[in-house]
Amino acid sequence: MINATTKQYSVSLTNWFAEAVPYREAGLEGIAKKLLRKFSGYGLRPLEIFQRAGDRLFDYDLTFSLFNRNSTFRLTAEGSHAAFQNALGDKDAGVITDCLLGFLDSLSERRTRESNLEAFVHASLGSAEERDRFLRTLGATDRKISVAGLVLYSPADETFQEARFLVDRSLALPDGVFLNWAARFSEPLTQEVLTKAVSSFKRLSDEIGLEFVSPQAS
Amino acid sequence: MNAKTGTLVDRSGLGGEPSGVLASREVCPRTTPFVAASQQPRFFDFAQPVSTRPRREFFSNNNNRIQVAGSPLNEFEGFSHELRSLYVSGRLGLSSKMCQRLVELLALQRGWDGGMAMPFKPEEAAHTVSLLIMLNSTLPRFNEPFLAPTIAGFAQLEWHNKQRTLEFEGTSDAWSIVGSETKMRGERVYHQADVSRSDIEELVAAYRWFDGAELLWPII
Repeated sequence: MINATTKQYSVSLTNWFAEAVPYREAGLEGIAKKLLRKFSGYGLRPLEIFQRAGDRLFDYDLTFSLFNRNSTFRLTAEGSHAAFQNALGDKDAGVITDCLLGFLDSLSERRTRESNLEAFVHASLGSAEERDRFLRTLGATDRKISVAGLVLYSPADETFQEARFLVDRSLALPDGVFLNWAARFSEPLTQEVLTKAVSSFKRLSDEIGLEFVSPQAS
Repeated sequence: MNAKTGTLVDRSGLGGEPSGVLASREVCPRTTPFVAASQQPRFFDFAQPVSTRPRREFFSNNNNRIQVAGSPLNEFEGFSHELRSLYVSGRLGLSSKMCQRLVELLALQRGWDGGMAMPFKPEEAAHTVSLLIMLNSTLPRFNEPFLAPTIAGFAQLEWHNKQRTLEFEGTSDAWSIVGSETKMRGERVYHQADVSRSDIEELVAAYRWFDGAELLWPII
């Protein structure tokens, strides 16, 4: 096992509604009010929520961002999208969880057909040599061209459909790897689903020989 | 942005706002280090420009430190750190004393009580601020509470007057509310209720009871 330390991560969630909601039935004012109440503690102010009416049929959206645009939220007729980038540490995970659940709670009147959860992690392996050695172990060593990445597909379980797990060189860290985990699911997003997603990520990391350690332990 | 030089590049050839996935990097100038678009989440897949997006010409890059209108931007140090900066800025309409208190609580480390207490959760700070902003804007008369952390990392808000006390304690998904009052004969009576964080009416009613606007405990 090789010790890896998470240096930076991003998370995104896309929801598709069971049925597209036309502008007249969207209730954007009510949703904006709920969002404002929920996210005022994160610094959201009324003039930072934007509505684009589009053609006033299905082409509209409601958007806002937090944390100096490192998290963005978008509601459209067909679904919603939330993304968080440049997160650091466990405390940020709590904030992301709270924001995701809070955002979806504000849209609770819409029925979700399917969601896609995705995580992007840049993890340090200590040194560039260690990183390259690790990546080479992911493929056959007798090839002339060395392997520097991998894509795994984890079978579906009771929550997630097939999960895609990608390993690559990190462009952000000279001694790091980039990991991308993505899976679709149809049940409503809860704390439990997020916990299962983290478990799936760790299990797949484990499969390829990476063990995540806290920065103090590395 | 060019990964090697750190300079902003207009790949559209039109000299306007960036578009598509490339835009995901450029809407957050504080991000560091630079990460290629393929290794970032897709922000706003349809790339609708937001009207407040800073214009391209205000950006410059000096020694890999992004500047806006000549002033260097601080590096983004994570969501919880950004929350602290927000409270330091005092732009939430709360007293400076309350903002200072929030900043102090956010700095607490594990074991701050000399035992096994959890650090104060940043999201709990946000819930507390949302509640205070909501009460402040809804009620004609409102006093800020005394704010304390619990060993589980949640917030406890306390109000006291001669007759009544009111406490809101955060839990994972609600406020646990305890009210107490001294009756005419001197006996102390306690009331307890768990109220969802989004149940504005009951949260307001609890404060109105404390303030004397309600004679009877309002939460069933």
